[in-house]
Amino acid sequence: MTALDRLTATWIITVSVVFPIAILFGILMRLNQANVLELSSLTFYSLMTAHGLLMVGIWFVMSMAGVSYLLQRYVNVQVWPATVGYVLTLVGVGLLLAAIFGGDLHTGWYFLYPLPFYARTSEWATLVFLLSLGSLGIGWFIWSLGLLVAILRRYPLTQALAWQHLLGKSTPETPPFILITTTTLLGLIPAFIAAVILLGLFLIQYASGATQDALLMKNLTFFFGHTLVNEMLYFGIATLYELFPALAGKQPYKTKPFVALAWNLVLVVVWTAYFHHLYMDFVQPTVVQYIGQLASWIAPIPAVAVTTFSVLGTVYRSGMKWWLAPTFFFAGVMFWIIGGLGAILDAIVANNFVLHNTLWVPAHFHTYNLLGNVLFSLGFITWFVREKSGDDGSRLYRPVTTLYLLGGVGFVLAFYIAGSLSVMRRVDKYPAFVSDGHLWALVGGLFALLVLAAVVPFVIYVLRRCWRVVFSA
Amino acid sequence: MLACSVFGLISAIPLWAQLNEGHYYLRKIPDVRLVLATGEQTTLYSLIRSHSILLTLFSARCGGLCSPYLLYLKQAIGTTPQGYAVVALSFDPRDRLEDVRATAQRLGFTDHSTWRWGLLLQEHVPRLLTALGYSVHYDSTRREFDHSIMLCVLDQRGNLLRRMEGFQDPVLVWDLVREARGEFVLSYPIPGTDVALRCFELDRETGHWRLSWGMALLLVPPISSFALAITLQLLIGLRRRR
Amino acid sequence: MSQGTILMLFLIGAFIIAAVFWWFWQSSKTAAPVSAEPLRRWVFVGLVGFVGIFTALTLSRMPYFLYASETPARVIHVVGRQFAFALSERPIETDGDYAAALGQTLVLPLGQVVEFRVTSFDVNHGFALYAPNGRIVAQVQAMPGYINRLRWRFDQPGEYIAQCLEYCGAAHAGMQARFVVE
Repeated sequence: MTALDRLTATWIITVSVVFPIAILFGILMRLNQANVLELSSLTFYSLMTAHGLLMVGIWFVMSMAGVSYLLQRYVNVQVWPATVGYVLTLVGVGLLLAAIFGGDLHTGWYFLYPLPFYARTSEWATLVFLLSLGSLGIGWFIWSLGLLVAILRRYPLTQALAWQHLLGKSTPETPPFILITTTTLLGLIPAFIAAVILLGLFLIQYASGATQDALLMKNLTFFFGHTLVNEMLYFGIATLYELFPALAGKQPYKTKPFVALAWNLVLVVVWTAYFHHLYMDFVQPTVVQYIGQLASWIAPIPAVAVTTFSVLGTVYRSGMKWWLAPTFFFAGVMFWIIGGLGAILDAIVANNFVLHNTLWVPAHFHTYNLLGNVLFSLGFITWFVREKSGDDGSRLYRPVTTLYLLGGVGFVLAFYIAGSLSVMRRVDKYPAFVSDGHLWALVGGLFALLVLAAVVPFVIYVLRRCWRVVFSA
Repeated sequence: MLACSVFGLISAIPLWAQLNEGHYYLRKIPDVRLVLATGEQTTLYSLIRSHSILLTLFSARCGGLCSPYLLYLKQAIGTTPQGYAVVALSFDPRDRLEDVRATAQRLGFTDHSTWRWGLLLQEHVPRLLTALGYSVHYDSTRREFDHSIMLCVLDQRGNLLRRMEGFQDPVLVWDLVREARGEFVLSYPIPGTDVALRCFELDRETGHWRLSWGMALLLVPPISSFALAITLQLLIGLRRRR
Repeated sequence: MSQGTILMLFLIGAFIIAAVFWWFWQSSKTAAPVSAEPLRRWVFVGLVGFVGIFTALTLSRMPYFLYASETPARVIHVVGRQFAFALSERPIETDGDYAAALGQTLVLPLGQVVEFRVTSFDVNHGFALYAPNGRIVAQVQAMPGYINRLRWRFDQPGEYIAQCLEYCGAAHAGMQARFVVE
């Protein structure tokens, strides 16, 4: 086993341990909303903050760990940037949990300015929280930079972005995996820089008391938050491009001009898609809102189109063997598109006027995270486990996929329906005039228990095998 | 020079005085009689028949803020309004038509067709001042009026649409211009709230929104990402050549 | 589009996507050498057409300039503050105004344009109007330092609730105000 094998297995173990705990936090929230449990408001919002940050955090690092591992097929990957990333992630998550559960931090993952200055959080907790974000940001930044350097050593920038394919040339060849990883890394680094600027402005206010422009702070917050989550999905797609054809017994994908165009477009447009988070801020100039709607449509569609086409074309009459990994990838693409449909419906300003901050929002992002991006990472994990242990988890195949997908679909459907009934997100108790909320919270919570029931045996299966990778001679 | 002194005067009118605008919003303004600098006798409502107007009041013999304020308005919105009209009326009962003309000329308005200058009929002054919320107090020792400095927008039906007191950032004056042009101003910053960086600001020359330094801050991340990638590329290239 | 229409559109779309994937999944059980390459162009053209049509249909329906050319019958000043909305016909400028406005229940006219001038005294809040049937009809954010203007015509009489829709702290769920339309 190489150092990279061990590090990847360590990542998998860490993520697998945190995942069911974070699911449990979510279930507690849903059951509280259903009046089955009785949590205090502060506890609820602390759980909400922890659930959001942990889920985004673990699946971001997992998608990146997958990409780091697969990158060694093409370039020489150094282990130290990823190790620094791992250590700083642990530090960051530790500080984060201390701030949340020790200091009542309950500002939500996005700590929207100026809420941290008005919340009933202990003063030290806000500072620790900012430090923890700093630690995560620096760790991930170094890791991303490490990957970028590794790529650029082998592929010059224009080639890594497949510009020669864009111009119709077929050589030298840029594999889709390299193209997608490069555009994603270049798209991601600005999110970290935006976070640094945001933290800086927060700290200035802490130190001097000078107020910031709430509009600017909200723009920065979503530049960072939206971009991070969006790019994490593209890492998952990179993994899929690399692994899926082989799983179907076919030749690796090639970078066609249209594929090159789609991903180069994504690189630029992704930064303006976040404007849709500010549709209901009438103070944002209207022209920006128009750009937001266009970008929200243009950013995902080329990527979705080329990916779907490739995946369906691969599957068609392939006679392939379906086991955990290909099933996860295939289902992940399907739900990515379905979630995308929910998202672009909400990204229409006229619809957002009645859907903004209702449960429609968690409905669509859970669709392409829980049933999309997470499945891409689970696809990588199961592939990795089979590579290292030879066990493809065939005994788990039917129960785990059935429970996970059934539970996941029921869970997000409860969100969609409640969202269309104007039930709001981010509340611990539903006011009497949205009484529909209780029922759908109960339905959602019960279906989420099915997901948990699928995840626990799966995690045990993964932990045992990855443990051996870490501690093998 | 004058411009500097005007901006030096940008006053911190308290927040409540600005929000105060709401007290008067959509109030019907009385149709007062007036004499234009051209000598033509007319009424306020006949001035708003073709356009919404920006209305400001002054006293020709004011030794205080009237002249700097009118100059500041001239610099902020220009001398040739399009799609709206600018009306400056003297409320001072001692002013005569010659005084009004002299004020206009002193400020560089030789052509009376640009801004409309005029003199309010004395008995109509109190009704108008009350309707606008314009405070006037005669200081007998200085023999001058202590009074508000204010810009209002009146629509073609005589309703007060917007009202802004004091020297504010000229970009806020443009909000009023847009309102006078019949645009619905969807949102506006509360004057007097002081922040270091904004995303967008109104261009005082054109009245269009433009990016401001706050938004420039939002351009830093993408640009630095590309710069970083290119730098890394160059460094790697250099090392390889060595 | 109403919320119900959006849900139906979504469910139909999701069903079609799932059906396509199911069909391909079934096809994978047999093996035959085929290429889907000729189809690629048509998929692309179809998507561009879909996006173009949808964009054209929806971009003109922005909520930002609703009733912009009309003169509102009433102007209501709204201030959000942890954890209640104050609505008043008089401007809310001070803590005293805010406290005085809290107790009021406004009565707004049916079928006439009303303008809300919305701001916040502390953090960001969301000002969402829930109709008597429990559905959101309109919303705007309340951002400190800015006044946002929302114009709306109420077509349904009864008690409306303004509910905070932007997470603003521990008691966010209970942040609301009531008014009557008749």
